[in-house]
Amino acid sequence: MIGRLFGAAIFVIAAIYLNAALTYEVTFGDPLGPRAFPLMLAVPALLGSASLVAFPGTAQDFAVGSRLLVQAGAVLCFFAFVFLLPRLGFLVATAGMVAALAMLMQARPAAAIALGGVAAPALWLLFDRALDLPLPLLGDWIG
Amino acid sequence: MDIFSHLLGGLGVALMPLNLALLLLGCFAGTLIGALPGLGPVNGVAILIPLTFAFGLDATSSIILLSSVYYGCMYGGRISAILLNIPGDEPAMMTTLDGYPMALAGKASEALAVSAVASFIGATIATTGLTLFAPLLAQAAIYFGPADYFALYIMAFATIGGLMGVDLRKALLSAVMGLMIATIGLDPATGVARFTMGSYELFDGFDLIVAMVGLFAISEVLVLLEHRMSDKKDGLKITRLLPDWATLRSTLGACFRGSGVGFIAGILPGAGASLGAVMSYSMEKQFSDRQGTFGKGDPRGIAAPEAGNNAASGGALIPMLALGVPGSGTTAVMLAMLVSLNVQPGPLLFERSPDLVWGLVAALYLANVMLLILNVPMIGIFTTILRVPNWALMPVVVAVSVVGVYSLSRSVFDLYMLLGFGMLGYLMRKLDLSLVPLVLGLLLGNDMENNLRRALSISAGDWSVFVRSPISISLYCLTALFLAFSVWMSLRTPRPATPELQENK
Repeated sequence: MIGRLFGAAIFVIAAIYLNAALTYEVTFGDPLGPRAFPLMLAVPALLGSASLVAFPGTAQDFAVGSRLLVQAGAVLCFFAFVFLLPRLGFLVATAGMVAALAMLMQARPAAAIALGGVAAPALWLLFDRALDLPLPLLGDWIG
Repeated sequence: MDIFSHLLGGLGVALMPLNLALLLLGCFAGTLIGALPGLGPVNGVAILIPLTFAFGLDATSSIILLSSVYYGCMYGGRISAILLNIPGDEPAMMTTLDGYPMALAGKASEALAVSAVASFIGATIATTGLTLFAPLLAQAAIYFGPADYFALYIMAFATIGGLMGVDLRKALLSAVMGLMIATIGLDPATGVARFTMGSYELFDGFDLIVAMVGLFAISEVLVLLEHRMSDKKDGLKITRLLPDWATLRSTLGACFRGSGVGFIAGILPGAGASLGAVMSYSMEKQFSDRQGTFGKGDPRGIAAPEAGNNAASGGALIPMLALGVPGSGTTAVMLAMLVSLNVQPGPLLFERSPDLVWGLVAALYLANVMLLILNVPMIGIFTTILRVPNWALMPVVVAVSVVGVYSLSRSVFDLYMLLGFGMLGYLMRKLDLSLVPLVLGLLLGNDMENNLRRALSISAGDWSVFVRSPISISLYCLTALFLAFSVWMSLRTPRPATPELQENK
């Protein structure tokens, strides 16, 4: 089922892509212009994705129940990291992400927090101090 | 003679203190990445790329680091395969068949030693092959015109999925998706903004490195979270460090046969190390399994696939360096790094950057020696590190790769893209759509379009230019042969049981 949905999604995207490609004007000097290559791609993409809707082929089993929640938790954790990085700063955001991921991987909470507490300053020292790639130490909400 | 003097020059590059240190680091990290279940060469290399940028390494040093990681992974995969019966990466799957039974019979040390020596032989033969054949191929490829390159790209896309025995439709769709993503951004010839959806961040297109780290590293975390992490098995103990010569000698034949088969599998587009290991194991089984000892702990059953996967990884570097068309996922990721460093791979690489090519080749010989030392007398280090639990390791690995990507562009937009590619990669892996064609499409898309447009500019819009040169015609014929062969193979053999694992080559 997910295979068919994926095929349908790609089909819709390819259709939008085709439609957008048709709006590009063929300019002088270049016999092909910016339109032709995308058109050459959109047609096989439409055909291939349509065939996946009709015959989805093999697929692996997706995680169910609590494992699915754990995966969703990991994705949420990444999003939270990206959202909080400029706001709370590197140390808090990274320590939080590392600790949360460790807990999702069955670490004991104390061990997970300790891991985050050690890893975040270590990474900051490595990137910001040793490699001279500035990272926002404290974010807008703190500093 | 010419090759020899180039190689000496390369040795000078490889022996520079920085490169030597990177080589040692790469060999060590590679063995470790290979040995850890869940991290294979593709993810390992993808994770390290942001670090090479962060260190500010030049192209030569970066490619030396990544190639030694690639070679190291091929050595490392066997450690957990033998001691834990879990392949550390996909190519080591065949090594579990005879490696674990041997370890159970109390011969873990012998199994590790035999596989290390087999890896050494395989990788050395492949590196020698690389030294001899890559310059020849590059010389031939200098005669390729734009239309011939277009034919070469078509061949790469048509064959990359075919040989793995996966659904051909899915491989092609994945490639087309990669090409479509590659067209996003400003059109280089006319400056028209294509498919940017009004977002200025997309004018430069997607950053290749962001896409790679997302597709391989982030999706790997999601795969890892599908199952509860069980406590690690302690594994079997190693009693002695030095190999037993009689056993080693009995496997030499298997090593050489495995190397030959693996090397050829490596050069073929889309085959890579996993197929090299599978092919050399089954060939060796047919060739020398007279008493039915294969699968029960026959040392030759370890030697052949280990020589095979190491030889294949060397072979896979040939099309990558000489044609700029990678043969496997890992070489595609390595090529992406070169492109990001403004090194244009392809036949001219040998002319323009001899230091890079020959420094790399010389470094690979040195890497092999280092890896043999790391993997025979110093194997204990790796078996100890293998006991570090996943929960302590993976979150830090993820943090390093995410921070690495962020530190390059300091763009939060890139981090969201990283997540997007991670989820796309996970979904595609679950649906048996191989990621390798997508990566190849992303990587080659712009070149493919440029060559198409250049060929048509030269011919003033006459499409027959694509079938005029003998090189193009033979490439199209080869493509047709490959496709016919893969259709025939898929009708003849059943699908592999775990196509999901095909990515980690």
